[in-house]
Amino acid sequence: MISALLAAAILQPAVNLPLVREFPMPGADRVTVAIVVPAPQNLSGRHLAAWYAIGDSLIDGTTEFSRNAIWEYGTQSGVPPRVRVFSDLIIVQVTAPPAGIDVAAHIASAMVRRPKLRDEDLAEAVVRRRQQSDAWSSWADPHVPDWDNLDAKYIEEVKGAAFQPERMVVCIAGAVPTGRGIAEIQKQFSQRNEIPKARVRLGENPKVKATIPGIAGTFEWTGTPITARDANFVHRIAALMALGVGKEGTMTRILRESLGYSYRQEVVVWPTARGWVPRMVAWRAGSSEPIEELTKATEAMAEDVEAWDESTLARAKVMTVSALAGNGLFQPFWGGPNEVLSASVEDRAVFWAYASLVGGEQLTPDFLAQVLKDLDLEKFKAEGKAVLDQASAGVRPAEETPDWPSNEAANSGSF
Amino acid sequence: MLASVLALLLVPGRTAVVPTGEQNDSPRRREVLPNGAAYLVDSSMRNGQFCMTLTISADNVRDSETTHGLRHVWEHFLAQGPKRDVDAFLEVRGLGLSAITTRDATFVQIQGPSEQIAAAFEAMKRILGPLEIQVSDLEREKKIMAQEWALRSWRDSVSAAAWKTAFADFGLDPFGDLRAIQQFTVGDIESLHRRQMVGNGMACVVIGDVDRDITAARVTELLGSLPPGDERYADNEEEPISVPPTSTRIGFGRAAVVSGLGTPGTLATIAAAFAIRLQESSVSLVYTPTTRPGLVVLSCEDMAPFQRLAALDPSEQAALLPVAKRMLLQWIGQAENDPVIAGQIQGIIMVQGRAVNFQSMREQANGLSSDAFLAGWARLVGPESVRVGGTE
Repeated sequence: MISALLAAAILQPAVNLPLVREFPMPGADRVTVAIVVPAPQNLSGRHLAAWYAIGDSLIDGTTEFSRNAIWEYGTQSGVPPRVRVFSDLIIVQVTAPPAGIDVAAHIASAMVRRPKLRDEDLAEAVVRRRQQSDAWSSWADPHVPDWDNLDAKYIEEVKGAAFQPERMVVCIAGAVPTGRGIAEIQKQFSQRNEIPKARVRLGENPKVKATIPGIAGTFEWTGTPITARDANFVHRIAALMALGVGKEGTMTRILRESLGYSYRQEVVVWPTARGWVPRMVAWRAGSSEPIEELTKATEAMAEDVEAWDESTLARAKVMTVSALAGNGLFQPFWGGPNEVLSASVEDRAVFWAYASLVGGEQLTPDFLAQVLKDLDLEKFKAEGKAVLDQASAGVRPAEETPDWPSNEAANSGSF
Repeated sequence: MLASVLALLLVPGRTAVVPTGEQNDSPRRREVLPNGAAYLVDSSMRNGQFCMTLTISADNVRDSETTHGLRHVWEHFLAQGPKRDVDAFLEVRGLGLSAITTRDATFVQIQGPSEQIAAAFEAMKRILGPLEIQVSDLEREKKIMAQEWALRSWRDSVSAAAWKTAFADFGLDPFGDLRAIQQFTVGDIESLHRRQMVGNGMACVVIGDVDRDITAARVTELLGSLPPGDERYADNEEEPISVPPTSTRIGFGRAAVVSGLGTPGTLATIAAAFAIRLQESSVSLVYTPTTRPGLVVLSCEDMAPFQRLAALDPSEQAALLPVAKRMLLQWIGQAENDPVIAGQIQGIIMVQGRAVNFQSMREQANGLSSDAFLAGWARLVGPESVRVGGTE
């Protein structure tokens, strides 16, 4: 199964063409097209507002497809089109029955090359975003867009700087005959550039929200971005698995079972335009001494890494293969706030589209087997230690104090 | 862990023994054992993976005001096994375990590569054994429960309020009440465990790339020695009670009372809910599968989407029927191919003793009429919907 999932044809990007990857998945009952668009670097607060508004409005129509037409044609497989908007990535996805690969490619490419972006759609997107107050979204990206000062100029700049084919990565996965997906994408992108190029001017950086909505805040150990091109990438992933994936991971054993700090704690491998950022996060409510607890947890996890043994290593290797094969178990790769990537055709396409942006084409079964074979206990523990040593540890407090409803013991401070 | 997301799939299931002749040719085998426990083995998948689902009914042990949360706390201990070593045992073999508490059942699921299925049976055997809980274990778990409670979103609050509105005490939130949880003793947990580790009300579903007969023999060995226990009585099949509309601090909800999986009205309402989500992307949808009466809950941070939905012309609603029907069919089809969700649905159908058939579901979805769809829409956001906050 791994070889089937990883077998891929690649079209290297030519001038004005995206990088295209194709992943036939035997037995799939549908085909999906995922397009990754990285944001221009160093977006100001106003540009970030424009980025979110554009991303959320892509699905509202293109020059040739109305919103209704996108829904009508884009839901033929029963899976609706979707746009995921991260602070520095947009991922557009359209799924179709096997015979509809041309339709999926057409709609998806139109959404990133000829979006309508009507004023009323952009305005509605802003309203929806401003109302968003869930904890996971706030955790995922603490940068606050400058909604108050967004105007058409910023929309045009971001659109022109970001939505150029050569910046994009496309993945066609599922029930796709070899070569057909690449041909369809070539066809769709062979026309002239649809959006005039533009530059994003420098501006005031977005503000950063220091708190989390609700009553639970976070302890987080944030690593530096990693890419599949890094020599130690697979080894680092294995160490992250041992630290924070599964209930036998270091984080659960230390933070939950030993210290009793949190119910949910895990490693999240978060996609950004610069690479996957390892984020070890634990949700903590009602702490009166968060810094002390953070320090204690860090020390306890470091001690635990020192005690890793051959069994820990074996578990991590099994999990690493499982995660990269995408069989739905032990998955640290996320596709949105509080959203682990699943084994669905759609999520595998998103994974490989994004992975292609950061050097993932080398992650073949043979490559994985070789590098995992090279990983011995000493190297493994060194990687785990490096994760903790290099991470930036911090607390993001909750905006509210727990009221612990109907619970006298909790109110008395025993929690 | 609580089931809080839409995990809605439909399954061919029945608790009667399938005739021997059919079993010989079929990749499936199901049986009710003498002690009342039921099992289903579906060996039709060829992907090298399996999922084993243990479903334990909530009938006879449903939460009350004083035991509100007992099943949830018990699930935390159940899933770890008596020695708290089940996760370690499984994960090093590439197997993963999860556990879920819903209003109607507790689910324990193990999934992973088929060559490790013997280890999954060993883990389930440990899970079915007597609990070994110290007072300190329970006190720590109570703290963890509070941390879990702190992660509940406003959507969870809206859903809980909708259930309370529709079903009063029959709709108690399966999470539990932290005050009640504080009062639980080790004896309470152990007593519940003894009442739950019986044949009646228990089902084991194994779906995947497995040998049908060998797996069936292993399940029989696993469940067959359990005492039968008391017969389970469906104690939540009454019509909704309906108490005055309520509200939550954040968020608004609209919900439809549905009679349960397998009924045309339930499917029509789910189809309408899919259409509503397409129409209003900020609206969330939750349905917990059961063959008993339940709710399809819509929630939103803002009232405006519900106001727009209520004002939508019936012809505009009906225009969404084709898309909704496709999504419904895709959703039903997914059930047959996702052994995790299918295992839960199969399990709940078996412990509730209902006959729900995939094929008939598909036929119902294909034949979904405009009238039925509009009726489902009205149940969700029309005047008779269950309301949490706000007015149109």
